[in-house]
Amino acid sequence: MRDRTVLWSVVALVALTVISMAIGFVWLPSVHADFTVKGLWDGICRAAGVPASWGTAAEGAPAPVRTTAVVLEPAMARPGSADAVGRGATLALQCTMCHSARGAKEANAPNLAGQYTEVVMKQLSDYQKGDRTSAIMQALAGKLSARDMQDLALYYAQLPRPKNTPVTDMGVVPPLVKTGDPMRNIAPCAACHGGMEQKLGTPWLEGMPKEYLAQQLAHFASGERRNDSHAQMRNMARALTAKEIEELAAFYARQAE
Amino acid sequence: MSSESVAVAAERRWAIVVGLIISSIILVMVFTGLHWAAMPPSRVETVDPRTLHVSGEFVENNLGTSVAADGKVVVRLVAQQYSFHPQCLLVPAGIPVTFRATSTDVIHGFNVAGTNANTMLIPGFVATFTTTFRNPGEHLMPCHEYCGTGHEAMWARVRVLPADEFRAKGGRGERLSCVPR
Amino acid sequence: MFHAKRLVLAHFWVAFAAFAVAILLGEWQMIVRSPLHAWISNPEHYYRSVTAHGTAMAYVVPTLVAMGFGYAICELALRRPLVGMRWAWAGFWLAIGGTLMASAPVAAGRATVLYTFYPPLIGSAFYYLGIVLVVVGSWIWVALMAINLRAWRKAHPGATVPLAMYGNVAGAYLWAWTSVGAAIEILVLILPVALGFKDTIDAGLARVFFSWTLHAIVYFWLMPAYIAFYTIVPRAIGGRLYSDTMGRVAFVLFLVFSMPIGIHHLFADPQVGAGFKFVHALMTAMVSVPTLLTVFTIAASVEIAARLRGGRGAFGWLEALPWENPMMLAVAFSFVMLGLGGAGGIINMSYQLNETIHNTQWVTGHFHLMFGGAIVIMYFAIAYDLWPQLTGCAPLPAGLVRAQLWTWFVGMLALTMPWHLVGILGMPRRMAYYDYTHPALEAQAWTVTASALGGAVLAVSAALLVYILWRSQRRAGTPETFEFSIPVHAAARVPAALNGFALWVGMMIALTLVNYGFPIAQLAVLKETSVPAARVGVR
Repeated sequence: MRDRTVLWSVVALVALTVISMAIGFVWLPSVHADFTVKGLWDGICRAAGVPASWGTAAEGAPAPVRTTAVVLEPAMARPGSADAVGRGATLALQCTMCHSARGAKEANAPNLAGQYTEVVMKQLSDYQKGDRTSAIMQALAGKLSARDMQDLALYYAQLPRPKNTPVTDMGVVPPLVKTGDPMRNIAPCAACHGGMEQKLGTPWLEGMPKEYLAQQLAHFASGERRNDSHAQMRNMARALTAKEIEELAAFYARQAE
Repeated sequence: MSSESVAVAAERRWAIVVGLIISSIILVMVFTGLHWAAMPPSRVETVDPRTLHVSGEFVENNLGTSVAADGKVVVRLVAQQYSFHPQCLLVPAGIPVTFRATSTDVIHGFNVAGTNANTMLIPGFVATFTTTFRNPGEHLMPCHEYCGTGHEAMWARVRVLPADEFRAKGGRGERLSCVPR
Repeated sequence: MFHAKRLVLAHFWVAFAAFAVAILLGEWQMIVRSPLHAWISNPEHYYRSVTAHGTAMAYVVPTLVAMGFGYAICELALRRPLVGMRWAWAGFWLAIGGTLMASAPVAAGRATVLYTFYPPLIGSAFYYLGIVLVVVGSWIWVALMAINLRAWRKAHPGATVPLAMYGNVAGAYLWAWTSVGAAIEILVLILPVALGFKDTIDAGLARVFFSWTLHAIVYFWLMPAYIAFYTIVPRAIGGRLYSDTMGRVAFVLFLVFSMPIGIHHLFADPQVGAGFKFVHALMTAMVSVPTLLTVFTIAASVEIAARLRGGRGAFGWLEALPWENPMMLAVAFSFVMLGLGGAGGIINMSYQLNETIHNTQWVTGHFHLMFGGAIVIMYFAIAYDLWPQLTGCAPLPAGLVRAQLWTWFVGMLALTMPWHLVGILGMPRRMAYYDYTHPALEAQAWTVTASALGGAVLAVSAALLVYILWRSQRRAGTPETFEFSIPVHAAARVPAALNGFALWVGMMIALTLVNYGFPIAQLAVLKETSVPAARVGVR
């Protein structure tokens, strides 16, 4: 009695497994061109999920038009040694004219105090390669080595940010910052720029000069600035009206007072 | 004793019915697979999500709809927090369209409302599937997997054009989309 | 019962307390994303709530109910004191500690990754560690179930294990193996990143591990309900169990087939091959066998009750059923929801049909109907049935209990049917708000309102549950001796294989290795599939 139950259960399970594998790995793929091009064994491997090249990959692809050459890695956001920060401080002397000694000024240049390391590194690198344009910045960044950029970024990252109202105070925040507008595919600004989430490579914006912010949004919208990989920011900015750009720039700038 | 054998016989009959129900479900799956060559997205292909924007198939200027030399229509797109690129896809009606898509950061996914086009996008892998849009019109294409706090705002569109109108749109080598310029 | 009363009661109370909190969160989510409410001013709060609701409902509530019911079965079915009482309390406190440890980062918005984790999103390490503690607590329970069965066997050599205990231990073994997938995902893949040792994670592999747990966990949730179907319902409505053997067959089939089918959750994923997707689809069809067998056996047992009460005719016996009996009502509601949900499940598991509804509101509707409906309503029924034993209270107020079951049933249908409908229309799940002014979404707005109203009815029903249990506990009485159902044809000899687990556990592990071994091994070997982690929250 016992042996029969055991035997039949095992036989039935093995048969079921074999049949299902035969259908799934041989029969069904046999009618699908994806799986038959290189013969039976290759088809079985493909059905099993062995990575393969499926022919369509890069055929007829145009030469890449670069937007940015920077490959962001989480490691770029790590704090640096005191040594590196000191070196960065020396290098930063040539930046004080626009960005001030404390990394924040009323001029139409972005605040750098407390800016994330990987953000400053990326923008410097983009200026150097011409992926972001600015007569002054391209000239200044052109001379920097990779280490210079990192040290500069590390120096600015550890400077104290100017005092501002945190974005979490939702009462004064424009709707686009907290909820975006889904049907125009405008994500909440706070979902990347801090407040709710802080995405790698995304700058914090509070206290940036209003003209600077409005100009950058307009440049993203028109495509004049395009060093955001895969149009991450252009896709958002393009949907904004002029009034909304004004409102958003004013909001983020207002925080500085 | 006889009542027990009646009970067992009734169980047997039900077991046969269960067997028939299960086998007919499986047969429908096999039939659909064989005769419509229908499968869920089934290619396994890896890609490095860090460098998508620098080189390879998913650089920005290769995204959108392309018509290959043999007339095959391929739509390439990427998903990222919090948009698809391109944000508006242009496809022909009545012609099979192959989607190739991947993610630059976290897990995303999309479905095209009112159709069976539906896939997950996992960073590190290229998702491929082929579908045919029956009628011209416009569909919403939401991200359907939680991808962060901006997830609810991640909506794209698919515009289906009559086949001849689509062909008139552009020749070989171009990358089409309906993103307003 | 002997001395496990307080233990069981503690498990049930914590489970229902967590349940009550989680249901309020769920209803809040329904309201804020419906047209009844303006867009929530911080969408992160919505996802935070989804994380808490899912974690409580999927991990905490069913685990505690299964553990508590399991300890009760040990004493009631084996008729001997529970062995390892101290360990059982240790398991309980581990689960409580884990729940609290996981709740803190979720409440603080440091772990808004949803209860399905979704790496490369990475939240606070405490969230994952808390869940690990809950699972470790439940592993103690698994061990105690095995130890108690062995002790009983030693005292009763050659005797047939009571059906309730057989199902209970099957559920324990099922859970032990089921939880291994998510445990590996958390311990090996996620925690090293969450603790800062690594910056990359294999998102595709993590999803495969999670699918190992994610589907079979449903059968762990379901086991208490099925044990109640077989061993409590027939007795409670004055009938007999149609077949004891069929119960055993159903339990062992769950053991074998519930695990190696999880890849049907990954039909739309690009990291698993088409062949394995088909194999898992076919095996998913097999796991409906035990449910179909159960439906037959329980319907027949119910018919026996009706005929014993004088029911006549092919369908006339339905009238003779004790509809005023809460257990009768519960099992009827459970079967209706099981039928509707099962039909939807066939769509989900079908290799190709799944494409229509994958990750839409349909899926939310499906698992709320199956788990929240068919299974949880039996958790209520189990609590109502055990309460006099646990608290020594007078019989429960039948009218209130019926009202509670009715509101749960009606509320659950109102919640889930609109979800199924809009899912087919393509509405995605897990969105903090929708723009109902858009012409394509305007027509779907009423469904979200309807679901929110259904959710409100459910919240009322949950409050009623807590009130009934609380009030009853304070009214002393002298409960009758607890009995499990008696089969119609007792004393039939059970095949040895259906009195033990070795064969079935062996098949379960072997089939899992066959169905998961290759997909896991090859993703683990592929170096290039590790992607940068995305840490959630503000920096």
